[in-house]
Amino acid sequence: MTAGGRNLVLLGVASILITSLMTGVSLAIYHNSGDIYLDRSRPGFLPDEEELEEEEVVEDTYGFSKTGIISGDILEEYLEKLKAELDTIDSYKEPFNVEALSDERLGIIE
Amino acid sequence: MKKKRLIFYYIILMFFCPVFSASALSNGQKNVIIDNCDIVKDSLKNVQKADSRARIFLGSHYETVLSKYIMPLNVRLLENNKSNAGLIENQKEFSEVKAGFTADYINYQQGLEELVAIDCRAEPERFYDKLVSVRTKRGKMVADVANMRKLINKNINLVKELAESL
Repeated sequence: MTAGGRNLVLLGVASILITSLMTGVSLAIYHNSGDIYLDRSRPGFLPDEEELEEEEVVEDTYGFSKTGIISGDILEEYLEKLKAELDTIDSYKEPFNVEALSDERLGIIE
Repeated sequence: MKKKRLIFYYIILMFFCPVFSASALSNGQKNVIIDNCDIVKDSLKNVQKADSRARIFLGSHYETVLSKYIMPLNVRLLENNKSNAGLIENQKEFSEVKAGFTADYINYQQGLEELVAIDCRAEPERFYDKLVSVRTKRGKMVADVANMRKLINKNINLVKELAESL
């Protein structure tokens, strides 16, 4: 093998090692920071089709303006919109229901 | 005196050596875990997925409430020289509890992942002890959701009072 060929092989090996190291470090950071648990794009956690359809339907662009005067009517509008937001939050039935991990639900009963 | 000393040593031993403490798992339950290990794990994975959905749903709505309602209102009140100490405190509390919600979720999911990784056929007691600890973490999530709701209601009440005073 010529010197040029040897250098090319070395360059290839070094590139693979550096890439593997950087990928390992990135994955470690991704896991240890907890971002992995917030990421729904990982396998097994992708949204279902019906869920995606629901997300497409819900499109709220309202936002209370940071500028302008403050009056009773403006605050009433704020309250009306915020209550609607609270109703949407409440529509999610029993999030993190403790019963989901009970012995009965998991079938750990004699 | 000797009896008291023995009780004291027992408590210290139980505190530092959880391995000696009796697991809440009965022999019958132990056998059920061993027999239904795969089914129990599948159920846990389904819970994991459902929780991920709940976190995305609630997290995005909490972010909307903070960034599209609470914060802009406080900025606008400040601009109009009508700052309200209660609403500013409410914003601070909301931000803190929201950050706590995310941190508690990560902590809970880490626990759940560790639980799923335990070989329940080989170590049913360890599996059950971990399940008990994950339940506690899940209970924290329920408390966080209740706190967020309480703070949104508090914001509504404070704004109502402000609207009446104008």
